[in-house]
Amino acid sequence: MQKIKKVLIANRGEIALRILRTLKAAGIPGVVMYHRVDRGAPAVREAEETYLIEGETPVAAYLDIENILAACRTTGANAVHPGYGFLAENAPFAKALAEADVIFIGPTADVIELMGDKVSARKFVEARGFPVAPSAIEEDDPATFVERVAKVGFPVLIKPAAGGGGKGMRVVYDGANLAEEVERGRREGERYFADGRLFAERFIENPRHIEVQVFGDQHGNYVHFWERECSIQRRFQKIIEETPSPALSPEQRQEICTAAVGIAEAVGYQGAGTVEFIYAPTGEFYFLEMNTRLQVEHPVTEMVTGYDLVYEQLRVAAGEALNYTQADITQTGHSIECRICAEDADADFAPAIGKLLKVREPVGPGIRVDSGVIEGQDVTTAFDPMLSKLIVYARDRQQCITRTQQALRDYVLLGVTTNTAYLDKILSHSDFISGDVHTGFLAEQADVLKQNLSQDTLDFLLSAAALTDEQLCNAVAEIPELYAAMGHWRN
Amino acid sequence: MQRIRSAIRTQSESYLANKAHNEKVFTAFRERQERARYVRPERELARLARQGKMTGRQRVEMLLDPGTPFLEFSSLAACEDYDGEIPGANVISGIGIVSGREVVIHADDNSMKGGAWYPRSTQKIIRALDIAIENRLPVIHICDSAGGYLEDMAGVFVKGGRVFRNQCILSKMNIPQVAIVCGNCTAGGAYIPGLCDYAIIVRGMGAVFLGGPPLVKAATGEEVTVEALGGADMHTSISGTVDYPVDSEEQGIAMAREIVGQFRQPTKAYHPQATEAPYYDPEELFGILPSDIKVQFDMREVIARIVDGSRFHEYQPAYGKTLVCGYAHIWGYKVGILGNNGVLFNDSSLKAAHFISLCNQNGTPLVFLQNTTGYMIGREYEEKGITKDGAKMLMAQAGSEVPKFTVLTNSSFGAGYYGMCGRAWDPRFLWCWPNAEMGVMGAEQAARTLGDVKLAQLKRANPDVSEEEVAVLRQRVKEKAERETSAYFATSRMWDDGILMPTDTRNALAIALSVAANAPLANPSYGVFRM
Amino acid sequence: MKREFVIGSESYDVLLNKALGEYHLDVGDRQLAIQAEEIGSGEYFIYVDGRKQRAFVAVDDENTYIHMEGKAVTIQRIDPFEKIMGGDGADGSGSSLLAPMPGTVISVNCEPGQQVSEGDVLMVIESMKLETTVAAPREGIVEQVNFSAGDTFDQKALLVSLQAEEE
Repeated sequence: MQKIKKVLIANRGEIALRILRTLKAAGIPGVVMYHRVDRGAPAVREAEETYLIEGETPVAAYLDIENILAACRTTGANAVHPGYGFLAENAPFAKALAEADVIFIGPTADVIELMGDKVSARKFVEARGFPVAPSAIEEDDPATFVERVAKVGFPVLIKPAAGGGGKGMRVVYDGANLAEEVERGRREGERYFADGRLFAERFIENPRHIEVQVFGDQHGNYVHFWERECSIQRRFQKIIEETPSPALSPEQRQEICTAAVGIAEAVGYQGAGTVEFIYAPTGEFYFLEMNTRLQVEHPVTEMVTGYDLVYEQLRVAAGEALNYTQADITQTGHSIECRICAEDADADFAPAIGKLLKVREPVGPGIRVDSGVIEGQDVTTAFDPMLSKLIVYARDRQQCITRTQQALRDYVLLGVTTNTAYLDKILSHSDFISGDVHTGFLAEQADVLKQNLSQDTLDFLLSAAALTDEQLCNAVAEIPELYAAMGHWRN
Repeated sequence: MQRIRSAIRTQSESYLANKAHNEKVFTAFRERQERARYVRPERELARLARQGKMTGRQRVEMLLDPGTPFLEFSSLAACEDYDGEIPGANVISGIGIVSGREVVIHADDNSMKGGAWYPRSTQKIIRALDIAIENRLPVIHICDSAGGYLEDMAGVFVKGGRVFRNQCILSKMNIPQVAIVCGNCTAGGAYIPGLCDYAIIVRGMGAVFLGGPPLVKAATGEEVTVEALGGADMHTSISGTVDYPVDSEEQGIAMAREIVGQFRQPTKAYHPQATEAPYYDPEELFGILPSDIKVQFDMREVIARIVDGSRFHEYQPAYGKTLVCGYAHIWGYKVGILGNNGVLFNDSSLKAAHFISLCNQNGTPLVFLQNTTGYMIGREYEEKGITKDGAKMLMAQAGSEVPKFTVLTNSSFGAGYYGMCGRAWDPRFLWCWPNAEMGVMGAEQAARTLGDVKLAQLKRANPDVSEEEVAVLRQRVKEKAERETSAYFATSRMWDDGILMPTDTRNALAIALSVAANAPLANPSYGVFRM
Repeated sequence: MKREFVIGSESYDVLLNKALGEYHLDVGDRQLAIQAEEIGSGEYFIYVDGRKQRAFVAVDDENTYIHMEGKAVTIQRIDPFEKIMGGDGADGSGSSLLAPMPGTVISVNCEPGQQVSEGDVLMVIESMKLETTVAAPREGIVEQVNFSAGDTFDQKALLVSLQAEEE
């Protein structure tokens, strides 16, 4: 890996720390760049070298390509790891780095460009004989788009062609409001992606989201690291991921993974990528999109395969060949990841803010916490609400579920409302336990998943709140003993 | 300390008969008290609702720390005056806990005749302030009175001035006062907030002026609104008569609580030890008090139902046995108790004088439990010097520097009422039980004596007076004597600090003991004892 | 002393007392004998009527955060007297449109002084990647508009207010 001298981590939060750890273990110097709102973050504390960036907003700072190029020049970093989000799937960024002679740890710019656009990716995949869902693409003939959407059949999912992460997606159940919804979707696309082009496809009722981790090197070798099931989503965003998927038979697993590697090979993919599929209850699967980056949920794959995917990314980026074959990559045991988010699941997932007054991470066999926060840190709405990821490994799914639940219960995060109890509740649900879930599961079971407090718990909570209320206890202490003992007496 | 061994059998005929009788007496008291506290004409309540006001009692309840007691004074004051139409004399007063501090509260009861002050009203406020002075208690005034009752201006005017004099004395003694002006404070009433250290006024509700708009118009022809003349904003921003404007009564009360929370906690002259409940059930007092006032009962049975653990250290148990003396604790506070167990003889009087001096010497507050028909009369006792022995008891009792508390449990007649620290002897607090009677002599004896005198007068005027006329006269005299010896007659005039249920006596005494400790104890000194 | 403890949408009035060395908490018509033993920084054993639970507790000005029985609960503490002193919330309800969650203003569709009917869209906001409209809860006149398009706001920020209704 001589080619990589020093890596700039162009990200923040848990992923910055996670990348830094691999760099440290590999003996490669790493630089953590950060905006001042993140100055107390764990990655910034743990880094040997840091670089302060600025921007109109904190998010803008991390999105500013010039910032990163300047950081590379100043620190002498000759490679950039983009993590996920921000500039991870930005082709101009990859190009700019290449021009500056800095290694982008990810696929080539043209692959990002091809696969980053849902429309072109789909066309490409469809043309090579991989399965895709019935769809309509606006730019084929914008004038007839609404008509063609109606032909795809309801319910139909409309989404920005340039989108990702659920932004601007909407499901339309009948033709009545179709034109209006199309217009709204266009506006959102313009706002989020500066690209109002839309794309519509058949919305499969109760689908599962199954994705495959793929890898390619610069020497024409392609492998997969098996699948991940990510059907537990709230507002189109994943919050629980696991592997292996409880839905797949060994044959289906083989089939879907093989298709994914085929797609990677077809585009000449380099580094870590993910091919996402919609999996229908009837067993068919359709290509959804390809993510040309490391995924948030990559740790579950690491847990069951034993590979450090960030390390593998570095090796590929350094031009080394994969030194293993598909047969070497085995899936052992089971792993679940829970995304710990600052949000109130009982209040429509409203983002929560505040100061983390107490943090105590769970420990125990098979427990891994990839956290981006520490005690004392302020949680704001400047960034995504995800605070950390709890990743749990066990020999089988049942044990993995109970181990995850215990870890969630042991995870103390006070000062900001988080979804740990909600995640625990999901894991207790009989449908989750039996593996009978789909991407609409959380919305469908919303009532069942609400928190409720027993009388007994309530008594303890109110007691704890009263006895730790210093002002209250002081006021109570002011009442002379005699009168407190006499209570509400009237003569 | 030894536990008193009760001889009461709760299944005995006399116990059950007493209980049945007393339950009626006590229930009647509770009913009168409930009426005086809560029953008001519909129009008065409608007026308060219209004005968006709480009643005086609701204000007191909100002011108090939740879950703490309130020792109300004279809940039946004026119950036998003004045709019984001015409940509690239109004043609610008592000792309560506000922000952890013991305070005296004076709240005008605005739920009858606009809270107008009658002579008994000012008397009741003055008594509350006397209690504050004697026991160094901060005072919170909740003002909402229509002003002095104009039809009895004379009755309010002269004595009423002492309300304000007492306020000045409190201030001079460095005892803080807070006023919450929730209504009009007119004429003399204006001095209540004016003389307080902290005054709060509710916007659009409270007003303070020496003369209200009608009086101003009559005197000078000036036409002025209530708000402009003495409203919250005028007084808090222009005149500086009042300190804090607030938007509601609730806010005024919260503000007062915050102010009281700044007061220094008092230094106590004495402290309680760990307490225990009485071993014997206080409810048993219902079966111990006799249904006939003339029937004797053992005061130790009463003590056993008031003091901690029913434990009593009896002093001179074999001497002067018609007076029980000894030490006990009430809610942990050590007290010296004197209780009548019959007529006061020479030896019992001497025992009293001795025990009182002992308590003064060792700083122990005194509790007098009265059930007395007076000092023994007759040639033998006069020869033994019953008068000079009684005088020794009076001298010792009057000269006491320790706080004294008196409870009239049954009969309180003749000089025994004096010797056992009657109202005139300035006990810090004096309470009557509902069954108590007091007077120069018992109603029956008074009726007989007075009846004879009146009959002689009648016969001198008309020698042929008929049997019926005699009977009517005797009946009238007897009824008057009975009425005027009753606890209600006394409490109406505030010869006590209220009628108290026997079962409430322990708590009332404990609160009294606690607040009395706010004033330092002086060294004992007496007048001359006739030897 | 009284407190109002708010958990989610539920509110509980409690009364804490300490007599003879023991704390008692009145909740509704029940009285609990309670005790707290601090066993570490922010870590307690809480006793209720002799039963025990381990709890992690963190406190800020407004809320108490408790982790107990494997979950965290946020309890808002209200001192009834301080609430009265605050004197807020007494004015005509339904006049203030508060942000349900932090977010960004997409568009402002009204201006101060404008007459609006119930259901009229006053503002479009974006929170959690979804657009939400802020509609007039009743007929009235717009009093204040506190944000412009592109502004960000926190939860409970006053977005738009209507003039108080005549009594």
